[in-house]
Amino acid sequence: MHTIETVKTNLIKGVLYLALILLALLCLIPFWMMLVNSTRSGNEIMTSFSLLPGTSLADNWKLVTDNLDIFKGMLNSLFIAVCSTILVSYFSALTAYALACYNFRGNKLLFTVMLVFMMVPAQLGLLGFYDLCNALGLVNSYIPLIVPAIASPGTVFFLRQYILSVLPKAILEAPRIDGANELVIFHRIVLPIMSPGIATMAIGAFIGSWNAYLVPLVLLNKPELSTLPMMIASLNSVKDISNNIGATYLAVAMSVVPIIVVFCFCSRYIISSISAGSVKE
Amino acid sequence: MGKKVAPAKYRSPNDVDHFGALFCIPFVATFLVFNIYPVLRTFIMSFTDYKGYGEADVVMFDNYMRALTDPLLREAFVNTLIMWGINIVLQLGLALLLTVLFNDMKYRMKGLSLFRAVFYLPNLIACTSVAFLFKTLLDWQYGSVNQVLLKLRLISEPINWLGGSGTTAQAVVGVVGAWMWFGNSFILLMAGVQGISHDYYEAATIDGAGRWTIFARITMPLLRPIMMYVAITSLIGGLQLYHLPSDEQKGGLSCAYD
Repeated sequence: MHTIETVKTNLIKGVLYLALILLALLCLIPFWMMLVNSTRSGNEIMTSFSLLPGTSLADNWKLVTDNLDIFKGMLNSLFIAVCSTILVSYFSALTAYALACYNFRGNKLLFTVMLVFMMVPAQLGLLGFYDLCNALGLVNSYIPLIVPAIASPGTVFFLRQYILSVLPKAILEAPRIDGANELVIFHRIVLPIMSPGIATMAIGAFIGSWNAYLVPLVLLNKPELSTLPMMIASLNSVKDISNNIGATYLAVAMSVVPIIVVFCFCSRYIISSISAGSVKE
Repeated sequence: MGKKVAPAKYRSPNDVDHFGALFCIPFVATFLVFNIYPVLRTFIMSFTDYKGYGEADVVMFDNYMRALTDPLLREAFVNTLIMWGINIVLQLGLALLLTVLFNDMKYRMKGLSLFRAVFYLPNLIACTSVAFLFKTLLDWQYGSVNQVLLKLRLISEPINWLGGSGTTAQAVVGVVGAWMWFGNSFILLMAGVQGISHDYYEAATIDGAGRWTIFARITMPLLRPIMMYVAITSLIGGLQLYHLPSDEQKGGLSCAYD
């Protein structure tokens, strides 16, 4: 009887694994098809279906690079993403440290306002944001895409909880007795201890900025300033490319691959740290 | 005050508290200028007839009246709610199912971190790229989905997924949204479940509670805060649905958003 039970359990387990693998395939196949189709010609894609790579990669490549300045777009996106990620990381950590470890007046108020604004969708202020940038002469500039990263309530919130769980306050007493500057304490002691939490948030910030579409679309109207997502979205209107679907796939794949590479290297950080905050006491 | 204190002397924790306020200045300044001001300005402008240039006259609730009585806008609102409804049911349902599965003590499923990473993958891709990808995959003339279905003889003629009846297109947007975000919900729910003390489960098992009872009486109630968080954020995200519908169906909803 015991063995029948075990066989039954194993059978159910097998079915469950099969379902999980199917679901995983469902998540992977669109990416695979994108890569495959970027090596096939438009004609092949329209007339037949294949999961094996074709031979038109070079032609597609030529079409993409002839019509789009895709490397310029990548550089623009990379510049914005790197700058804003650095700002998010440093200033969110500084603010989170202040909120977690200093008992100054307004601490609670600031924290509450932050929580409220986390709930407000960013697009709500888009019109006002555009007016502001217009008044300050910041249209067609990267400043409005980079500088606001200094104030990221969600990141500050996460890092504040993180500091409370990983940083013993006693550790700050020793350097204070030695007369160290508070900012030096932050740079030399707090920042290194916080680095895993910061890394998690930095990955998310980088991906978010790399993929940002609406704000750049509203603020940038010079082609040479275009970011990668703007170029992808404009692909439909480029005549030569929409005639050749393969080239469009190639352009999309080129925008996705860097993110997947970053993710493969950092997924352990993302996954473990998202759950870290809630597990630790 | 900090400067008057001689160096190398002990400062009590109270003396350093004003540094906290100092460290918050960059955040607060940026927050006021780039977050709070735009939202307030948008809100105030909603009571005027501002056209984006020139003078603005106060018209009080005229804009709201017009928006609320505009049939096109009401239709857009209903459409958005339908898409969100399909999306959230699939997304949360699937995430919850996976969470329960991976926490089941009887089956003890392996490979959690691998599956979690794969399920999270669609989150990494820009909405515009996802929209393009599915638009071409689902194209009724040369989209791969129709080609495969035709080859397998599951359908006799190509299905017009996006341009056909409104319901099909809405369902497609809902399903694609769920495909994109269920991995994220799954990770959040897993984090929530792992925060639940194991003692509850052991006690319940000893008392002879079945799997369904444990889920309904322990997991669900304790998971409610996280569920709320996931549902609210995806509601906010859902009401902002813009890229997916507009890029996928060109026309459909996007015109009503202006």
